Amino acid sequence: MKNFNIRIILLILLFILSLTLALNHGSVKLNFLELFLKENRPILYLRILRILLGIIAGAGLTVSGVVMQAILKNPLAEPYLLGTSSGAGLGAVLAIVLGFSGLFLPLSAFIGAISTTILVYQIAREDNRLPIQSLILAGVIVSLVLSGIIILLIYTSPKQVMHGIFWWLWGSLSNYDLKPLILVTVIVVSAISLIFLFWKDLNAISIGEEEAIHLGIDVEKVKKILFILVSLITSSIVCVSGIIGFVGLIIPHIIRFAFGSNHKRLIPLSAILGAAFLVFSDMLARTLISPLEIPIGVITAFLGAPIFIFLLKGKQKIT
Amino acid sequence: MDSILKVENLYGGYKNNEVIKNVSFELNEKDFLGIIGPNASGKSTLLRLITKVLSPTKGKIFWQGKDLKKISLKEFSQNVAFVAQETKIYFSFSVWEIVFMGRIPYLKRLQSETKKDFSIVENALFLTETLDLRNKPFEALSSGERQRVLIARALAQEPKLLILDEPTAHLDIGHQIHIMDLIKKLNQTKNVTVLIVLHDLNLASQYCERLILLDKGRIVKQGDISEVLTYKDLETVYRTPVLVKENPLTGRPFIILFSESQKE
Repeated sequence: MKNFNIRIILLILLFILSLTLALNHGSVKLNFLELFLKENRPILYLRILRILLGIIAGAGLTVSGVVMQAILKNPLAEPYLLGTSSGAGLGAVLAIVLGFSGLFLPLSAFIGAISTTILVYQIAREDNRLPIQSLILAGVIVSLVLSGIIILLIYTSPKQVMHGIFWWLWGSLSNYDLKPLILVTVIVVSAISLIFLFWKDLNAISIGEEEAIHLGIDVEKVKKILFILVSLITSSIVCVSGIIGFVGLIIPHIIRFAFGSNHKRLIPLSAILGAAFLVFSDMLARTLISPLEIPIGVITAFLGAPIFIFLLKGKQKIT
Repeated sequence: MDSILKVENLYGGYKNNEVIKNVSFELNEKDFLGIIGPNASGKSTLLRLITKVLSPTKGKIFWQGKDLKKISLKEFSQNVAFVAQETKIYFSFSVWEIVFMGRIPYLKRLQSETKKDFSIVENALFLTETLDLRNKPFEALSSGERQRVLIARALAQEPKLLILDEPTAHLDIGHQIHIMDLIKKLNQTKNVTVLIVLHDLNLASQYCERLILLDKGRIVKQGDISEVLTYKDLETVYRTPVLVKENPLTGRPFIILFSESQKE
């Protein structure tokens, strides 16, 4: 138990460290005190915006990953499995190709994400039930088709829009607009809080659907509610940050490895680590080859894959 | 005697596959009723219909005189607990966390666990002799220990009726007896009614008070042990020769199996 508290303190320190690093580093070199000078206020403001987006996107994607893995009982499940990423990607790419800009872009991405989720859901549905195998298959098939359309659009579109498209497909936390961020923050924070209220249900469902029914849980209803919350979270995040992979897949595994699978701990602790991980990744994305910015999805993939392999090997040793 | 569970002309199963056909029986308080029958005879399906995992296509089920359809899952799970044949766990939970799930039926969404819940869980661990295992990860346990932990979880639900689906299927004979003795003890000292599916006819004969013999989704025979365990019925249902003798220690039927080629 003592060991356990130390691990929680370590996690919180990691979170604070990552925020401090992200605040302190950027394409403009400033030391920590200079940052708070009046003339540097705009830089501070932009960095805080990015950090806030990193926290929200990291926490939201990770908690969504926790939910998807628990319900699908599949360690490879990730938040985008419901089709939100390819849907949002297609919506955004279409908007870019058609020359929309400003608020139409995230709006189009959101519509793409939500309608794709509904499509996946409808394909997977069997009467009033939602068999998880069908859901995984429907998610994969729809994503494949939409990705194909995205590639086609990229292939046929002029060079100058390519950069914008890549921004969407590999994600970025560069964000200069407070209003959509506030809206997304409200949605994500309330959805995560609602998901947390289902921690007991998630524990039971992650063991088995029939087991959960025997414990008095209306599994089909709970699954529906959780899927709606997850698709709301991922759809709204993808609108402001593009598609950021790997976070929702790996972070839940790390927390399970260190703290077990009880969702009462898993949900809040995953949110903290997910936020720290994404803020840190964004700091690297901004500074590694500054003044150029690397898409954050590239960083999360490079950081995430070795961690994933490490966890896999560790698990093999135990069992 | 009060009937707590009543099944009336029940039909049901899966899409395009009606497994259970016209099944009727009654379960009284403190009963120890066994269900036996060959593979694919519908034993597990019958349990799924009774525990609201599947809904019947025809017929009715009554829990304490009330139509099962009108009882919420939550209320039902405060009365009836289920122990499966084998539980595969995909994620790592401690024994305590697993047994604690038995309190889910009693907790409201915003409510966290109270002292009462803790003492009930502790008591369930005590009764099943699993207190020492409480901090161990469930996946690290042996099959026998797992089964005891799952029975502990069922007890944490404070059930009137305990339903078990072949709880001894993967256990050696020592552990089989250990588990069956535990169930018997709960039945006798805690007044828990037991409905149990068993593969092993001799275990069924030694522990159950009444039996239901199921074949192709229909009840072939039900009643006292000696009425159901006759060589005639067993041979027709299982399609293999058997010899039914009396167990010299208990006076109950004892089933001896032999190869078709050994039949003179």
